[in-house]
Amino acid sequence: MGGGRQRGGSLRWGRSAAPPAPLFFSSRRPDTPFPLSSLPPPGTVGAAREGALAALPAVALSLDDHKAKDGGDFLSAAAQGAAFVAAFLAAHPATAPSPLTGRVLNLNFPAKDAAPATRLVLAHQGGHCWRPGFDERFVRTQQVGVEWAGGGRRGGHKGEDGAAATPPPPRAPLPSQGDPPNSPRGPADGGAPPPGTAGVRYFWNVGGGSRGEGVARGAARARSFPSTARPPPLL
Amino acid sequence: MFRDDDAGSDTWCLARGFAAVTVLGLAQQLLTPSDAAALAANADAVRAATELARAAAASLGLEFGVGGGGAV
Repeated sequence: MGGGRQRGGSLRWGRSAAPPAPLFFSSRRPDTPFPLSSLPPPGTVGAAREGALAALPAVALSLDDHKAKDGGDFLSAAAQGAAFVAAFLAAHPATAPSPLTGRVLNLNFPAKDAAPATRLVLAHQGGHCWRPGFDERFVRTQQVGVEWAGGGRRGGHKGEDGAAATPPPPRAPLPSQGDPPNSPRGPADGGAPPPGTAGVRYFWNVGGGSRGEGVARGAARARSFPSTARPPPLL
Repeated sequence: MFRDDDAGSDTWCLARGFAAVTVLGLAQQLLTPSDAAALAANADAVRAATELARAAAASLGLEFGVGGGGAV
């Protein structure tokens, strides 16, 4: 489980024989650029969905707190999440099909600063729709251009208590990660690289969206400048 | 544009300090909706999730609720 709802880590079951080994996918903090040698992890629900696609029990666990950083921030939610997973596995073992095969359970916990949850509610999915979008960024410390899967919400979220939906305000451009104000950015669609960035590796993110924190989601593919075309989506 | 994968929780459950769980399909369609037709079409999954959440809540010593203030 990692920081930030939706950005929190995912838990899914691997493809190994029973008993299935849980695999954690931690979210990446926006101030923690991913190393060049690795690819950004899939998003929280996306990782769980991978498990569901393989007909494995799949749960996404998230904490409603994108400021949570270290293990202590997750203790309460992790304990409750582990109990939930244990109950899930007991009722729906990976070795037997169940009505939840091919489904993803998305479990959300309140922020770490809140009191431990006293109630577990089976809720319907949110009313938001996500409009995919991409932001060009240059991570100075890694000397990489990064195309972040971003976007924004459309449509308000109707509270179940009948509160009127409040359309979200227009999104401001996402901040770049650690780059100076006049840092070069990668071109949106190929073309000439910014001055001094020839040879900089470039990443393309697909498969999810960040929510303002700039957390990379989805699979990624590296390429080098110059390039004239975006790589195809990996989905 | 696609449906966000939030539980219907951020404006109701989490704001009240409740944990929330929802069921998602592979296409991120709504499986625990207020839409009666969609609910009926996925009744088995919703029922299983309900039983699971109820059992998990009991093991955790939590109250169990459905719908976040409204019908699921």
